[in-house]
Parts: sequence; structure tokens; C-alpha cells
Amino acid sequence: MTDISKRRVIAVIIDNEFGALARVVELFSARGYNIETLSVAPISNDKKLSRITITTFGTDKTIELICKLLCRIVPVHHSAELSKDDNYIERELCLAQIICSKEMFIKAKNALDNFRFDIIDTEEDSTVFEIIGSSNQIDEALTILNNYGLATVSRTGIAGGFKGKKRLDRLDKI
Amino acid sequence: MKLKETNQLSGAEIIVKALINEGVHTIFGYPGGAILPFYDALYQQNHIRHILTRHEQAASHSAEGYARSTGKVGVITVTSGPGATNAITGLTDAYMDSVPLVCFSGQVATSVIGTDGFQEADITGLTRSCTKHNYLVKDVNDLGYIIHEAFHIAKTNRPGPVLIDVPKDVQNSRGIYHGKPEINRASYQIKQKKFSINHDNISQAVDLISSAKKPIFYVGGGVINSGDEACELLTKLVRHLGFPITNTLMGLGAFPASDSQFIGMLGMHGTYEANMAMYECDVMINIGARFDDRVTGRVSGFSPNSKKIHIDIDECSIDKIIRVAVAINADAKHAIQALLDEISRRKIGNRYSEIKDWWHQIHKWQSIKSLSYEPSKTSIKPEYALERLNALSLEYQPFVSTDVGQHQMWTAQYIQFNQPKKWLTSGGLGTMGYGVPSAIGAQIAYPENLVICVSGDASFLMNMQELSTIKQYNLPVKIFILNNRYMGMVRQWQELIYEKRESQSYMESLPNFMQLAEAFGIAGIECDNPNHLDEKILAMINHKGPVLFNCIVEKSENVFPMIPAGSAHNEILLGSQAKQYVTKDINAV
Repeated sequence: MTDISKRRVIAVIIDNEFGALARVVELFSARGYNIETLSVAPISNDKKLSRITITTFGTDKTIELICKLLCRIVPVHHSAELSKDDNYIERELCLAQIICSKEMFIKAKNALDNFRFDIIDTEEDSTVFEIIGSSNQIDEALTILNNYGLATVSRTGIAGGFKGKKRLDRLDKI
Repeated sequence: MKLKETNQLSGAEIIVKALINEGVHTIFGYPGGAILPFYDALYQQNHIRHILTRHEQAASHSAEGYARSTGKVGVITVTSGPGATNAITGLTDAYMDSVPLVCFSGQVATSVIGTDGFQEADITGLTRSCTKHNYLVKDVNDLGYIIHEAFHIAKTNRPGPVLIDVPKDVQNSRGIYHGKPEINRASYQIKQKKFSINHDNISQAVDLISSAKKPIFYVGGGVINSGDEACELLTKLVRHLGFPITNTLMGLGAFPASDSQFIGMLGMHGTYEANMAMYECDVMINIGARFDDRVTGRVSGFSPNSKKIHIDIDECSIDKIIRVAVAINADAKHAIQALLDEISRRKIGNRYSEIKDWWHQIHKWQSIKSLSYEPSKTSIKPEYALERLNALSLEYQPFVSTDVGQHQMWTAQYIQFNQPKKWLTSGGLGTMGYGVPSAIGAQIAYPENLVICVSGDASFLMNMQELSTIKQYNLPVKIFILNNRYMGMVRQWQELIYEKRESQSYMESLPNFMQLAEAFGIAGIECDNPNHLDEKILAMINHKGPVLFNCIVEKSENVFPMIPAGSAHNEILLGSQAKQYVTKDINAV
């Protein structure tokens, strides 16, 4: 237990209904916590369940309490901090548009060599890269693109999960 | 198809039917435009009695009083917009004190929602953080299930308020009601499955209990919420072990106050012996209490040398403020039963004589008589007034409600509660204005019993319009106002912490309470002479109808003992030490 505020990844499985997301988000805002990223989408075939992945900054104590309070929300099925013991995976997708000359574009493309990316739209001097990686990797890629006419950025926030066979919906059974 | 249609009910009728199926006989509320279809359906039935309060806040507190005195779910019906926002204080109060409520609010028609319609408020948004759960019903066919699920959620696990927002068109349109279904919401069942009596935990707890030299039971409202059986089991457990027990404000009545093992309420205005025992104990057994800041004082100085056992139905309350050695996330009743079983299996008997030294120490603390006060022959001391009220009403085992402030703390200190569910007070939220309406709720539930609301001159004014409700239903509620012409607790803090600068705490222009009683058509009694007090209190108790009792008390009396905010239990102030007090933490509240 420390009082140090650090980056946290929290995952929630919740009924896919109106108001549910608001109840989750409110636990953070009520404590003056900013949500850095948030992604939510249905995960079951019948669309009845959604998974929310949140990144935020907070202290051990507050995050532990938030995770317990999340579990108390009626439509929440399961919730836990993934980042508790670093035994988790995360990916984020980013659409980054650059507007620049052909020469600059080629340089930009080469500069992104170490990243996992695709070009998904080009029109005149505009190019949109789809970049996938950890949030850190995306930060780095965007820093590079800043030098090549970065115009617009749209990030999904992360999707995350435990490594290996550990599952959010089976935590109680471990 | 036609046959089916004739079986359909309007949304308003579904609400009435579902309430009947939940066994609801009494609801509290106030009509208005958006809930008129429901009130029309209510008019055409005779199973449910509606109590018309004079303000929606009072409706919600009355429902709380009803719920807490009966153990049932309290029901409120209010209109949209201001009707619903007025009820929010009561919902928040119920949320803090774990009171099961279901609140129906009318809403503008679904087609109008979000257009700033007349009397429109986003009440599900507004109440999200003060309800256990809430619903906006968009399809009349969902209404029946939602109502039954709402009752289930309100009363199970840690109880709390649930709000159902019903747009006017949903109340008017027709749909099918399937009766009371089995509630099997998966996400909620997962929470319930977590409650488990883990034998290892029980065993560890009994290890601590059996070896403790300085044990104490610290018991809160969770035991009362768990039910009468839980209170009986608790009493059995505590008596079997011979340990001292202290109750929180919300826990008063869970264990009989007249029992010699009861060492009084703990916390900011708890007894010296209870707080010192909490500080010095080696094993603390917390059942159904949440280490509230009014109980712990400064957390870093809280019971430094004890191993703590915490039984709570709410996982969030465990390890939230205080880390504990043994955590048992379960309903109090089951956990206490498991402790009793294990104690009997191990043949652990009464440990009173083994902890004789500890009791000796506690008796020493008790001999300080921390609740003593300087008597007066000329003016009524508030402590004296409550001592007399207790002595003269004890045989009736009355329900006692309070508002918030000095009078509330004196009532908690001087009125003896020997049974659960007799004590109605706003603990967590500290809501002035709670007293009169909650007394109404209890009196509605128990028309033959003595119900006393102890109030203060300032608190009483916050919901005094309810005298009209009392008159309408001829409720024999006795309102006992300790009138010191001050917001007494505010003045006390100003005296102790703000060098007596009495900013806005003097009640400059109080009404004439006798004329007020008369205006509302109820009896008024006034007393400012300690020599006449007994006779007048008896007159109040013996009067068949409602009474407004204006008890004019000493103006500048303070509540002691007091653990000033930001201090630890062993820094408790007795009345005689107050003058030497220097504030340590001006930010503590």
C-alpha cells in the first residue's frame, strides 16, 4: 500500500443497459479522478453484456475502494484492477492523420517502421495511419508523427485483460 | 388476441398491483401532474393506504421511519421535477443509513424527456449517487418486473433506496403484468454468492475471542438491519462470553442498554468508558459497523494495539478505513450464528472472570461518570430533561426519533434502548428535519405505541409543516423540543473552536410554539421550570392525541464527553476539561 498515484487499468463486465456506464464513471469523478481512457463495447453474442476498460491515475487505497464500489453497482458482474500485479496485456488503436507533401509522407512512413500500422485512407496530401500497440507505443508514434504534419488524432482507449488463463469473470474461483 | 388485451392493465394499475403483491399496505407521498395517473389508480382501490405528507422530503423521511421501525421496505410516491428533487435528501439519508426504500417518481412523457419540459428533471441522473439502483421505465411491459426487482434490491444485501422513474405515458399505456416473478438478475446474484461463512475466518475469529484479555464488541446498525433474530443471537453471544459491548449511534437497541455488559455508545459523544475501552482493547469484534469517522476519531490514533474482527455484509466497508485481521463478509445473523456454533464446539464458556482485570479497568473508567452534569434548580438542563423523559417513558418502550444536533446526542446518551428498531435517527447524513416525519412513519406503523420525537428548536422548524399531517391522521406523536434558542451543536463548535463567535447560530425569531400548536389544532405544553417538568412530561405521555412540547432549556449547555474532530479516543474531553481545549485540526469536520 502506497500513497503514490500511478497509472491503473481497471476492467468491468456489466449489463449493457442505459445508465450503467454513468454509474461506473461517476465513481471516478466523485473522487476527483480523471479517466484517461475508456472503452466500452458489448462482448456477448446476445449483446447483453459489455466490457469496460478504464485507465486512470490513483493511489492503491482509492483504487482498491473504487474496485469494491464497482462490484457493488447492481448491473456490474465483475470488476478488478488489471494492473495490480503487472500480469496483464493491453492494446490500443489510434487513427492518426498527417497532412504533408509526398516526400514527408514517405519519411513519416519509414519513421514508423518499428510500429504496427496500416494506412487506411489517403486523399490528396492527407494520410490516415491506423496504429496499434500499447498506449506508450502509441504515444511514441504520435511524437514521431508530430514532425510530419500530424493533423488529427483519434484513440480508442485500451482493451485489456489478464495474461494467461486468469479471467475477470472467474476471479472468485481461483 | 382480444382476450389478452382485456387482461392488460395500465402502467398505473400495474404499480398498484405490484405494490399489493409486495405486501405493501402503506405508502407516503404527494401528488402532482406527472404522477396523476397513478394517483387515479390509487383512488380506485382500497388495499393501499396513502399518507399525504406536506412536503416530499417529509414523505421520504416518513417512509424511512416506517421502514426502520418495521423492517419492511418504505414506499414513496412523488411527482416529477420538484417533487422528486425534494425527495432526494431522504433518499440520500436512506443510502447513508442503509434503509430500504422504493421511491416512485412521475416523469414527463417519454416523448418530452430531454426537452426541458414543465417539471422535468433528470431524476435518474440526479439520484444515481444516492440510490442503490434506479430505473427509468420506458416500456410499460417492463414495469412489473422492475418494481419487483427494485423491492428485492432495496431489502437484500446492504439495504438501501431504489428509485423508479415512470413517465406519464408509461403510467397511461396498457401492458401485461405477469405477477410477482422470481428475481434472478445474474449480476446481483453474483454479489450474493460472495457472502460466505468461511470456516477458516470463523475459526480465526474464535481464536482471537478465546485468547483476548481486553476484548470489546463494537456493534452497529447492520445487526439491526439483519433482523430481530440477529439481535437475539448477538445478545446471546455477548452474554455467553461476558465481554463488554459498545454500540454505535445506529446500533443502539441491538443489545439491551440496561444490561451491565453494555458500556454505552461510543464515538464523538460516546461515553468515556466506551471510547477508552476501544482505545485500550486487544481484540475488537466489529459487527455491522463501518468505522465511521464519528466513531474512529483520528484514524492514525484508532485503537492502536488491537486485533480487529470485522463482520459486514458490505464488502466495501471492510478495510475501507481500518485494516482488520479477520474479515467476514456476511450477513450478521449468519456470522453470529457461526461464531456461536464454533464457540460451543470448542466448549468455550463465559470468560468474565478470565478478563476480570479488564472489567476492573472499565469500572474505573465508568466511575468517572462521564455523562454527569451540573444540576440546576432554576433552569432545565437538557440532560435532566432527557433523564426524566427516559425515566417516565421507559415502561412504554417508546419509539424515539430525533433531529440532528445536541438534542440528538443527548437523546442517544440518556434514553435507554432495550429493543432494536425503537430508535430512529439520521446518523450518516445528519439530516435536520428528519425527526418529525420519521416519527410519523413509526406512528403510522404502530398506532397504539408511544412515539416520541425529540427535536431542537432549529431542527423542528425544518419540517414543522408536518404538524398538519399529524393532525390529519390524528397521530398521537409527542414532539419534545429542547428549546435553547440556538443551533446548539453549531454554537458548541463555535464556542470551542471559533472563540465563541456565534455566527448565524442564534435563533433570533422563534415562533410562539404554543400558538403554533394551536394553529395546527394540536395540544401544546410548555415548561421552563425543572420542578414542573415531571408533571408536564406525564401530561404529554398521557395525552391521547399529538402534543407539541416546548421544553425551554439552559441556553449554553454543551454535549460532553466529546472527542473533538481530528482527535483520538484517548483524547476525549470531559465537560470539566473543555476550557483547556485547543483545536488541533481545523479541517476536521
